[in-house]
Amino acid sequence: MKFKTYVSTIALGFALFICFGTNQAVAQTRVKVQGVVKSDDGELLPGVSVSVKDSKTGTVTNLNGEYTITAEKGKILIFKFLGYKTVAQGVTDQKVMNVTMEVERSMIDEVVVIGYGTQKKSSVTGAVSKLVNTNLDEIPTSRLDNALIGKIAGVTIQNVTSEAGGDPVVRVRGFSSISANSSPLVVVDGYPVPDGLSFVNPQDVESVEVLKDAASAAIYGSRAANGVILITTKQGNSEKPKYSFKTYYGLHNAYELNSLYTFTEYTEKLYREAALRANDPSVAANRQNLIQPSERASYILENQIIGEATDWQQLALRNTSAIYNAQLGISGGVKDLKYYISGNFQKDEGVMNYSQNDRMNIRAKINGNLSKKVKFSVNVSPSYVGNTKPANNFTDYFRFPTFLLPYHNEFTAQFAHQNSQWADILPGDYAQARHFNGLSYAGTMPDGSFWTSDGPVDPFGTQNNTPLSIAARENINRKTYRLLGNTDLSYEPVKNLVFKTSVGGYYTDQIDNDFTMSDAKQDGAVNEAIIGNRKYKDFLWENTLNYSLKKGNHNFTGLLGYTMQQTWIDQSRIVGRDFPTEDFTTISQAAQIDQADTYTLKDQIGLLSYLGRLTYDYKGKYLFSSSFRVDGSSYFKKGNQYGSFPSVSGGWLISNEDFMQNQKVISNLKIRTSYGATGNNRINSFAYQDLLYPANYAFGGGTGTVNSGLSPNGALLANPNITWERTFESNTGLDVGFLNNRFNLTLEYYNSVTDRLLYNQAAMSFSGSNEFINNAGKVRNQGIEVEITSNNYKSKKVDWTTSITFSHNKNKLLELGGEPYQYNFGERNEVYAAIVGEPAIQFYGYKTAGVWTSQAQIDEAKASGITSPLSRYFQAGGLKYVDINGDKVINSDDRTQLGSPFPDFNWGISNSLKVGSFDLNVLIQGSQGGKLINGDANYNETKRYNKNFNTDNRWLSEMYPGDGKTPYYTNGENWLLSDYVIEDASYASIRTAILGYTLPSKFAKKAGVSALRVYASADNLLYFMGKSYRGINPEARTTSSAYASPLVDGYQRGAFPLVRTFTFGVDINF
Amino acid sequence: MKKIKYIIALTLLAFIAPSCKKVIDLEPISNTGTEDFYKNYTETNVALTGCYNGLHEPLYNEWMFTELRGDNSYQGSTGSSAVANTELDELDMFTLNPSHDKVYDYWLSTYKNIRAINYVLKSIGVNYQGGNITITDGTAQMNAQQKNEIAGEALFLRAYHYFNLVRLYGGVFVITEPVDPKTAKQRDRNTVEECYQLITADLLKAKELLPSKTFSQLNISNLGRANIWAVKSLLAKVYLTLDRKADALPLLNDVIDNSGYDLLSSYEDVFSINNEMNKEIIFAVRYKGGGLGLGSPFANLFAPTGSGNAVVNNDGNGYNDPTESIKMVYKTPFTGPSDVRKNVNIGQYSPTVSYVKKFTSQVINRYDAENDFPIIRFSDVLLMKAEAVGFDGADGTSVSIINKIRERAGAADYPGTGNFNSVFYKYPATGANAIDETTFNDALFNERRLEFAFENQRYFDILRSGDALETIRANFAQEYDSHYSKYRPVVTLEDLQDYVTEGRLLLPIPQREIDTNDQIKISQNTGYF
Repeated sequence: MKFKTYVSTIALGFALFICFGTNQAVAQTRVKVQGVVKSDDGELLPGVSVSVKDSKTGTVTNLNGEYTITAEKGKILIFKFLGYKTVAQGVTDQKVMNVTMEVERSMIDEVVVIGYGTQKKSSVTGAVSKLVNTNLDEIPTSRLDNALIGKIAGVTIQNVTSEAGGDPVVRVRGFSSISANSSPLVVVDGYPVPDGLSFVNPQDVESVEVLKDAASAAIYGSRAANGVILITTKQGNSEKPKYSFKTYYGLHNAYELNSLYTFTEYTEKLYREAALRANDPSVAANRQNLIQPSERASYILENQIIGEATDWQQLALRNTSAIYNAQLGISGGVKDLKYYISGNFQKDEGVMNYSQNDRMNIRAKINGNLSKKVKFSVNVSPSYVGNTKPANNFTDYFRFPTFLLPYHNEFTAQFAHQNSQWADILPGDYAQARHFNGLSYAGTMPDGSFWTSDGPVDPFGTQNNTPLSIAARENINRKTYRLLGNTDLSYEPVKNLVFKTSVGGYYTDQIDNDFTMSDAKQDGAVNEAIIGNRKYKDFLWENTLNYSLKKGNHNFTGLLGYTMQQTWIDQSRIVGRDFPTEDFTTISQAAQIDQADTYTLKDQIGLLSYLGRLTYDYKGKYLFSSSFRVDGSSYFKKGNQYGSFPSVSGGWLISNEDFMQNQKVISNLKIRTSYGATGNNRINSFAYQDLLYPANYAFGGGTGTVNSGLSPNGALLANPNITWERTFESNTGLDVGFLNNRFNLTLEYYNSVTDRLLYNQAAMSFSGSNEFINNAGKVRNQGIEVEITSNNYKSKKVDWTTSITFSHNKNKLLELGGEPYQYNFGERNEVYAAIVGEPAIQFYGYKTAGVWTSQAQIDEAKASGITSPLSRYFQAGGLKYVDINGDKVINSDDRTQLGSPFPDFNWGISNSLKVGSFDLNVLIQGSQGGKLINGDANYNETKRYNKNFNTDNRWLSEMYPGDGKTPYYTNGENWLLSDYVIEDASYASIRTAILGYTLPSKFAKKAGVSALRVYASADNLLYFMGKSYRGINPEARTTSSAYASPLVDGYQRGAFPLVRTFTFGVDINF
Repeated sequence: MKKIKYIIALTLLAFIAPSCKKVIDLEPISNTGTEDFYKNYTETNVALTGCYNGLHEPLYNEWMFTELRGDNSYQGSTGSSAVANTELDELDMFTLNPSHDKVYDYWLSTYKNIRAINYVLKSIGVNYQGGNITITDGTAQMNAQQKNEIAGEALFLRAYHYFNLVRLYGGVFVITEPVDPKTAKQRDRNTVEECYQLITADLLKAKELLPSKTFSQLNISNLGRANIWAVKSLLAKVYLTLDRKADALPLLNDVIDNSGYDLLSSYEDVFSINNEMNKEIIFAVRYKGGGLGLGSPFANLFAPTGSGNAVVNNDGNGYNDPTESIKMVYKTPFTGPSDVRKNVNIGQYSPTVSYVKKFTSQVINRYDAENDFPIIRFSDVLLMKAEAVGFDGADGTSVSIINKIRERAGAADYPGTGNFNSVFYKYPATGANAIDETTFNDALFNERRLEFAFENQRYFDILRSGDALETIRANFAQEYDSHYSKYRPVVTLEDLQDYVTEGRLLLPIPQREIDTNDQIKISQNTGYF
């Protein structure tokens, strides 16, 4: 027993020792570790998974980023969080282990949105650019497209107007369609919305994807030839509600104004010139002094009667114009239900008086799982835009003579009373040009002489009132209400097979409410109200079946779909005149309803489509994808309605090959290539038949009775044979990432050919119309795009990233229905030639070789046999057109190509620099090599007073020929397009600069918020224009009437100034 | 396995149920297509009404070629550099080039209406071939009388347009049915002779088709439609233009004797909006004010610029500014008989500013006046007869016609003594002031100038009288000091007179029309080569 006890005691002791000892040893090596996980920019990271390698132990960080875990010493803790690089940290004796997680730069597993689905970036085989909204919403603009400028290679966005809320021109890879509309298709959360870029609030945007090549876009078939922009809005993803409040306030001002002469300066110049001419014996006496009585009278008016020049340009502009934006967002969810709700209000005043855009957006998005197999989402986004436009173009102001004052003062009213017709004028009334006409003038001239008019003079004969008084009396308001609602239900009956049906509607109601008060444009004009209404109703039903299959190393996905879309457009317009008061209340008070301008118009469009896609990859290395779509459309006559749009693409992810695993330099390498077909359907409905339009006439006794008439007098002749135009495009792309994707490069090369072009072909006018719609011709677009992202420097405190986009597109017209060229015409019949073998738009006119400096020169030319049917061609001081064809006759056969509006390349460089809590984002952006026609320089009124168009170097006489290039404004031919007005449209700008400060989270927490950021931004901070450019806004273009055709582009007249904006903003999250 | 059924059911539902073709087989709602129209009398008649409406658009600019280029008016604002005014300067001074906007607008709008007319004619089977009009069955069903009326009116309208075109542009494109863009490019200009061949064929056929109702027999609801008298009068003018006086005379006599149309006793009443389609108006382009889109633009176009609402509401454009010579050519002494036509035709806004007053009535809306625009008046028929007959003695038919017109305008009998030119007299049968062979033409065309001032006759008259170049050059000389010398830089009289050449009496074929044809090189008129 004793022995037993002893043994057992020993044994127990040993056992205890062992146990204790062992236990003691275990107790000694297990460590309870705790700490805080932060991101590299200092933000606390909740929800990070923390696990012990090779064990089941694990936890997640709490809302403050804190964790506690117990692990054996020597084990490895793994910190994982989506979007961040995984961190592995060995367990030592340290009890506190704070971890900083670096943002994952690898884009390989980023998910991109593609048509009817999503795809991992690594398996994309087409040309898809993705832009994640990081600070788009800090750019002070009311439109998403403005915020995208310079950010995506291959997408050019040009601010053709600086009006508040004005539409920019958006092009993806140049333009392939030369029909009425070459804008890309815009799809918002899966729903095609024609005005999506103006509809979506930039702050609700999660990401923007652009399907650039035909293979990616082919799934959108007949609408995709001009590229597809997919907008994905934000959705709720956390469990705890997150609130965010964002607001900014900014001030706009005009970047640059036209440099104009005051009339006094101008008259002084005329006198200086007259004095010079008087020195020149070759100038006949009657040509020395070219100063007209009206100019002398105007000088007296400005100098001696009114006493000062009026700066009409400034009168066009607001003293201060502001942009204000506020947004409140809530997102969150419970287990199976996520929500995102936001409300936004923006008020944007344009730089010009009466230019204003107010916007309200609400967006509610709910995603939920009804069961394991059934999911749904509901997305509703109502919006309101209220837009006010100025009644006058900016030109109307800057060409308005400075010798007229805006309002009469005591003295000028008295002066106008000389004419009994204006006896009622009081000080404070609008002054009009006519008040100063028909009077005698006398006063001292700039040369000191005294001049008395020989009878009554009209300083400025015009039928119109001053722009200021017109603008004040004419209100142009448009209210647009939009509602996009769609809901989808998906059902997964067996694993990986998802059936989804979605039903949606898009409704817009655009209401124009214009009221013009009495005597607005002219005296005796009655007041007028125009009520316009355009209702756009669109219904879409889409059904898709998705299947994915993974078998060993083989991965398949398949998609089949059927969609049906119908659109109804109802337009109406009522014009009423002669209201009893200037307060418009109801149209029924109008004494007259204008029958000619009052109408209703209905239109409907239908689209039936079948679509499908198949993708396959082997080990994620060899990628293949193919899609098709068949569209049937109401745009065409029966028999021509259906078009099919297939595509195929493949890729090789070389960096996933085994042989690439032994090097560290190249972290991502993929080549891909694609080929596909897309179409364009944006033409007028029923263009396949000639339509009859109202053309009434009065027959009968007295003043006649209106008989209703109809006439086939439409502007466009029909063509019954029209059908789909098709674009075939091949695309080859290369994605390379270096050094763990610190540097990323994407290169794209594409070649697209569009055939069966739908376009308005010029018709012989004697057929009754000068255009008809045709389905012939071919155009090619070739180009390269480069996107580079480089993380130049990174440390704990400093992070500097540069992104570069570069795109070059070369457009060439290959065929034009068997014809060698077509001329298209602008407002002054200036020719835009579409010449086979050249870029599709060529400014077409005369080349000039300076001006005829002397009569001797002209005589010499005439002696050499040069003749011209242009009756004012041979005039000293006029432009000398070059005899291009060498036949010694200067006539229309001497016109030639003067340049094209297409830029050689577009570029953008964004820099993002973070230093501690400060960040700076700068976008420098530009366009190089495009040309424009400066319509103002071609326009006489502005030619006279604008210093840029009429330098002091203009021709005066043989002895004073100026620079030999600038014509005297009245000499020579009028209105012939020549290279004299072709200018360089290139520009470079510091488009946006944003300086921000994010409050470190520990301070933020003290302030009771989870994040606080303040920033200041500048839009158009600096702007550089081409040397030959004489205007004030190289991006401005005329886009209405004749210029709505994509083949008539590159003309500007009366451009709004560029707008510079300084903004201050605050973002708070709590 | 059950699930598969659901999948199949859902898929089938999705793919089959909505595949109703109605989604894409749509028809236009608000406008009828031409293919579905012109089926019966009512529809074709509505389309014919549309052709009358199509007279408005060309007329808008016509005065620029027919008054401005003659000696009745000029562009009044010599200091203006506004585009609209410099374009008018170019027409007035014959310095235009073939890209001129208005020259093109007139061309296009005229051919637009010719197209509408050709649609109507085609629908009732009216064809033009080899210089003749033939009528077969068309698509539109109607009785013979209805068909004749529509065909006759439409043919008149077509002839009216081509007559203007050929006189303004020379040989134009003879288009007699709707032409498609492809074949249009195969068409070259026709000769002047071919144009007149069509014009005479159209009018001769219309003469055959239209009923011979006198003015008092006309159905009042049809006033404004072209009738047989309009056809005969226009044909007579065509013949006069072609110097076929013997062919013109019987037509004119027919109108004078049988139409029931006559001179009104008051010149002013002829143009009054309270007296539209009176018995002197054989054909007019009708306008109707009141916000119907059918108003006349001329009240505002011709009112002085900057007159506010003193002449007409909504101010004026100051176009078609009367020359000094037209103001002086009317005899309006302080005492004694005076030509009443001056104050009807020309208004005086201020001591220095006058304007064309003939088509002025008050408007609510701009360019929306009531006044009809006369195309053929009975007095024109009378004076055409004088032209057709020619000088047949100082007391012959022709001089008596001129005197009849003068009498209505307020002329007194010449007492035989005193300055004939100081007061407004009829031409005496004897004495130094009697018209003789050599002065007849001047007197006749002077009378036409006074009578039809600003009715778009003057330019055609000076072309027909045979001394267009001389008249225009003389006009430059006459207006030089008071007007043309005020342009800066100064344009010399010699330059001005050189600008107008024989070739430039025609307008250029629009450059745009020449440019559009890449298959045939269309010839330009010689003045513009």
